[in-house]
Amino acid sequence: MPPADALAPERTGGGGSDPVLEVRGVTVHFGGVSALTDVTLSVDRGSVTGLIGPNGAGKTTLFNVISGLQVPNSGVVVFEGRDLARVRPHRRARLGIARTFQRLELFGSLTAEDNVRVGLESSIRWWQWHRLRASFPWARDEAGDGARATGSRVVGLADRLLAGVGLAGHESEQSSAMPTGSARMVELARALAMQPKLVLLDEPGSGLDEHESEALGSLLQRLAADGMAVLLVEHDMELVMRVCDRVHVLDFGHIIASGTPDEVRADPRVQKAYLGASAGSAPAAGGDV
Amino acid sequence: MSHVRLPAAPPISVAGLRAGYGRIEVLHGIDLHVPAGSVFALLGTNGAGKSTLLKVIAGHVRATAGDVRIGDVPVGSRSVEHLARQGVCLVPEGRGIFPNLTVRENLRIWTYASSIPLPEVEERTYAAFPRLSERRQQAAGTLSGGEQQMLAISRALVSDPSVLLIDELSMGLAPLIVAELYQMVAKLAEGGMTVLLVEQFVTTALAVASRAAIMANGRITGEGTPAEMADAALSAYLS
Amino acid sequence: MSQFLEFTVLGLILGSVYAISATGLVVTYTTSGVFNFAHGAVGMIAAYGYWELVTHHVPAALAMVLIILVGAPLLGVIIEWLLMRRLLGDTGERPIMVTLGLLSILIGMALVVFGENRGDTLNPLVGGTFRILGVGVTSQDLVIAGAAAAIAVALRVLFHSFRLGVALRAVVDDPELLATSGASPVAMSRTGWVLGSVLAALAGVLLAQQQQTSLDTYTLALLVVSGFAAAVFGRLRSVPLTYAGGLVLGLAVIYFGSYAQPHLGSWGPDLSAALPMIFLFGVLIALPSVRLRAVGKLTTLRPPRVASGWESLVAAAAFFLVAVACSLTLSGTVVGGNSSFGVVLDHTMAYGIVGLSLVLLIGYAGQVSLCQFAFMGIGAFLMGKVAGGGSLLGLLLAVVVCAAIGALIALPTVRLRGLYFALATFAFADAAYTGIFPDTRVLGQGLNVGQIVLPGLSFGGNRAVFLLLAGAFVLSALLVLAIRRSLFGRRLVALQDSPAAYATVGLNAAFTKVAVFAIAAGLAGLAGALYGTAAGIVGTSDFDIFTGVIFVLFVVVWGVRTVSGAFLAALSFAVLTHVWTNGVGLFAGAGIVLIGWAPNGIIGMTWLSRLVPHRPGAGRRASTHDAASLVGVVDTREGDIRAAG
Repeated sequence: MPPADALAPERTGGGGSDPVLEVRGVTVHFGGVSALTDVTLSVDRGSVTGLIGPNGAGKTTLFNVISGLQVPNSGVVVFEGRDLARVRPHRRARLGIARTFQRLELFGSLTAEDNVRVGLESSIRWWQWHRLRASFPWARDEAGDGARATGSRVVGLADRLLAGVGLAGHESEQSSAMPTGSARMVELARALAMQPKLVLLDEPGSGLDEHESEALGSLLQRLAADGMAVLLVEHDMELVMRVCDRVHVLDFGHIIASGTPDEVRADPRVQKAYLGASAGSAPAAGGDV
Repeated sequence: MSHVRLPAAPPISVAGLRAGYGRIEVLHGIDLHVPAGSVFALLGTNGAGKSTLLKVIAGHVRATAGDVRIGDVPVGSRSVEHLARQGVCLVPEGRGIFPNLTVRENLRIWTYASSIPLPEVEERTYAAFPRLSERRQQAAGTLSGGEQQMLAISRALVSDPSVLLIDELSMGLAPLIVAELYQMVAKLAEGGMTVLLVEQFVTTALAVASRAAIMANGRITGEGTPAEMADAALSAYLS
Repeated sequence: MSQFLEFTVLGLILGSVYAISATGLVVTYTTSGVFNFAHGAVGMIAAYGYWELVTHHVPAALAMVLIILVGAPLLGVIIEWLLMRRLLGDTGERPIMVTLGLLSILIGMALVVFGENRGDTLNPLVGGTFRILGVGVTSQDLVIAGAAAAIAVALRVLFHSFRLGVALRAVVDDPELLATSGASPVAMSRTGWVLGSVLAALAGVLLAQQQQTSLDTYTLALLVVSGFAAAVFGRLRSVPLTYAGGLVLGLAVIYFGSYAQPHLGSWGPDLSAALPMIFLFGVLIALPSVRLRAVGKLTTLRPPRVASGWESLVAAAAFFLVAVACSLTLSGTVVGGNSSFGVVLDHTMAYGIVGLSLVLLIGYAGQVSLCQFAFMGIGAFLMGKVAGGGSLLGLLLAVVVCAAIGALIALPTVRLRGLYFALATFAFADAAYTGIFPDTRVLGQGLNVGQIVLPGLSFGGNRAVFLLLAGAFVLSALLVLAIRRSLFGRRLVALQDSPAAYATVGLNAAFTKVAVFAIAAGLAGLAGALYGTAAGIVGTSDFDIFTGVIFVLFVVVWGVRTVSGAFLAALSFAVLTHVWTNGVGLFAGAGIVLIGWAPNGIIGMTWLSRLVPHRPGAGRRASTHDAASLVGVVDTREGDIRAAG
C-alpha cells in the first residue's frame, strides 16, 4: 500500500524497549470533574500501543495533554527524554508528535491534497526561500522522480501519501465534502506527512468498513516496523487486538490494566470496565466522586 | 399556552425512521416499539446512532422519513420545548447541566418543565441527593462528575415526566456512582413512566431494563428480553 | 482639594454616561452572544423618534414612554427576527458583520429621514441645576447617574434572582439544553434583544437630552463607542464590573484632561478624546488568551476557485487595458454633481487596494480588521511629509511603517478571540481618527500631499496618476493571488479552518496572524499614499472610521474571498460616495442581510458562479461533490460529546 520511503521516519537503530514517550502521573481536572488521575504510561519506538476504555474514560483528554492542547494539573510528559512542560503545541509537533482527532479537524475548505501539503510543508520557515520557491506549483521537479514532468515534488509526495492511505484519485476533492472514513484517512496522511516520530491516532477506524479497517491495520504495522511509534485509541477491538504490541486500559481517568492484547483481554477488571460492574463490585481504584 | 400533559407512561413507537445531520444520514430505517411503562435499554457500539434516535424522540433532530409517536402524539409536529413541557424529559449525553449557573439556578431552569415551585423542587432534589444541598450556591461546572450527573437527573425527579430518555448516564463515572444513579432511575420508573436509556455498560443497563435492543450502523440488529440480549451484546462489544 | 472633588463629581457623571451604554451592550452579549456594534445606533434612532414626537407636541413624558416601551421593543423584535435568529451560536465573523451592517443601515436611514444634523437640541427631561460639593450639576446629570446605577442594580437582580434572567443567561451557553428544559431559546433570544433595545433607547434619549449640542446622527450613533471599554472591562458578562469600569473610565478621562493634558503642553496631541480607546486597548491586552481546542466542526462552505498563475496574469493585463481605456474616454464625464469620473476611478483603485488587504485578512485568514482606513491615513500622512511630499521614499515608507505598526498592534492581540481582535482594531482606528489625525501637524482639515515624482517618469496629468494607481492595484491583486496559491496562502486558509490542527502540524498560529496583518496593513498604507497623491489634499474626514467600517461591509457583501469582490466593492463604494452619500450605509446594511443566504458574497452566489466556467485542475478528476455552497457546519460525529474522553 504506502510507499515506505514516503511515510517512514529516519530509522533509528535501537529496537526493543525504547520509550519515545513517557507520561508520568498526569492528572487533569475540569472544574470539579477529574478527567485523568495519576496516569502513567509509555510508548515504545517502533511499536503500536493501544489505548482503550469506555466512553468518557479520558482517552482524548490524554491525547490533548500529550499534544499540548490541554495543560495538566500535575504530572509530566517526556518526549525523547525531554520534559514537554511549557512547550507549546506547534513546537511539540516540530519535535515529532503528530496526531489525528476523534472529531475531525480537517482544513475543510482545502482539497485533500492541500491538507497533506500543509503537513508536508510545515517544516518550511519563511526565510528558507529555496524551499518556499519549491512549494510553488510551477516549480520544476528537481528530484526528478519522474512522477510528473512539471509541478513540485511536494505535490507528488502528497499524492503518494494519499495513495498510501487508499485515497488515490480523490486528491482534488474538498476535504469537508468527503465521507467520514475518507476524511479520517486525510487526517492520517496529513499527520504522516510531517514525518513524525510519534503519531497519536484518535479512533482512526470509525467510519471505515471491514476491508478498509484491515488495510489500516497493515499500514499501522508497517509504520511501526519502520521505526515510528503509534499510540492508538480505538473502539474496534479486533483492530486493537491484531495490531497492538501493548495495550493500556483507561477507565474513569485511571489506568486499570496494561499488557499484551491477550493479557488485557483476559483481565477481569477490563471485562468489568467495558460491560459495567454490578453495584458493590467496583474496582479497587478510587472513583471520581 | 395550553400544554396538555401526555398521559402517564405512554408507549413510544418508531416506524421506518430515517434521520441524520445535514448530508450525513445516521439512522437508516428504524422500527422500534417501546411498551408503555417499560424500562427499555438501547445498546450498541460508538456511532451506532443511539444518541441520534434519542434526539429524534425528544424533538432535537427531525426525521427525514418515517414516523415517531409518543402515545398518539406525533413527535415531528412539536418543538423541543413544547415536548419538554408536555412531559418528555431528556437527560442528554455528556452533562445535561449549565456549568456557568449555580446548582440552585440550574434547578430554577428545571422548573420550566415542572408544575411545582422552586422551593419544592429544591426540597425534592436535596432529599434525593443530599450532597447537592451543600453546593447549592456553587457553579455547576465546579461539581464533580457524579454530582453533575445527579443534578442533570434531578430534572426528571422534579418534573414528573411521562417519558424519560437517558443518554449515557454512566459516561466517565465510577461504578459506585453509576450504581447509585441507576437506583434512582429504577425508583423513578416505579413511579410510572416509560424509560428509554442508552448505555454502553451492558450489565448495568440490563440490570434495570425490562426490555432491550441492540443497534449497529444506524439499524436495530436485535431486540428481546435482557437475558436474550446479554450474550448478543457481549459478542458485539468484545469480538 | 475642592478642585479634586469637582473633577471627581464630573468624572462620576461622565462615567455614568459610559456605564449606561456599556451595561446595555453587556445585556445583549449575555443574552445572545452577539456584541452589538449597532447599540448606539438604536439609541440614536430612539433619540430622533423622541425628538419627532416632542416637536409634534406630544408631552415629553409620554414620548419617553412611547419610544422606550413601545418603539424600542418593536425594533428589538424585528432585529431578532430579521437578522439574529440565524446567527444563534455562531462565533465567527458573521455576527460582527451583521451588527455592523445594522449600524450602517440605521445610520443610513437616519441620514435619509433626518439628515446628518438636526440643528436642534433636546430639552432635558427635568430642568434646573444643583451644586454638589461646589460643582454645578444639572438635574439631567443626576437623572443619568441615577439611571446608570438603577439599571446596574436592576439587571443584577434580574439575572440572578428571577427565572427569566437565569434562562436569559443560559440561552447563550446551551440553547439546546434550554429547550430540553422546556424554555424556548427563540423566545429567550427575542427577550434579550428587546431588553437590549430598551436599554439602548433609554440611553440614547437620556444622553441626547444631556448633550447640549444639536442632534447629530454620527455623534449619537457612536456615543456608545466609549462604552466598549467599560463593557470589555466587565468581560462583556458582568454588569457590576461593567458599571465599575464605566465609572473608572469616566474618572480617568476627567483626571487626565485636567491634570495630565496641560503638562503635555502644545507638544502633545489631544489625547483625552482617544483615552477611552486607549483604555479599551489596555483592557484587551490584559485579557487571557483564547484556549486552543479541537471543536470538531467542519466548514462546509465551498471556497471560490483560485485562479492559476497564467489566468491571473492574463486577467490582470486585460483589466489594466480596460482601466486605461476607461480613463481615456470617461474621465471627463461629470458624476454626482461636481466630481469627475476620473476622481471616481482614482478612488476605485485606491479603495480596491484596501479591499485586497481585506481579502487577505478576512477572506483568507478569517481575521476581521476595522482599521484599514487608519492605515490609509498614516500612509497618506507619510506620503505628504517625507522628503517634502510626493516622493518615492514616502511611498515606500508608507508601506513599511504601516506594516510595522500593524505588527505592533497584532502582536499583543492576535492571541485573543476574533471579536476582541476586531475590537482592538476598532480601538486603534478610533484613536487614530479622533485623537491623532485631527491634529493640524498630522492631517487636520487638509494636508497637501503633493503629486508623486518618480525618477525617470513624469506624472504631469491626472491620467498618468491614474495609470500609476491602476498599476498598483493590478500588482497588488497579483500579489494577493500569488499569496493565496503559495504555501503561505494554504496556511492562512488552514489556520482559519482549524486552529487546533494548525498547531498540531507544527505551525505557529500567532506568527502567521501577525504576518498577514502586517502585510494587509502595508497594502492599506500603500493605498493611502496613492489616494493622497491622487487627491492632492487629504484631511481627517477622508479616513473616517465609520466610512472605513462601511467599506469593510462592502467588501464582505460583494465577496471577501475574491479579488473581483474587492474590486466591485471599491467601484460601487467610490461611485456611491460621489452619487448618493446617504445611500452608502443603506446599501451596505441591506447587503449584509443578504449575506446570511450568500456567505461567499454576491460574487459567490451560485447562479453567478455557474456563469464562470469551472476548469478542473489539469489531468485531475473533478470533484464529485459539486453541491452548491452550503452555509454552516456539520457535526462530524453523532451526538455532542462535551465531556472529552
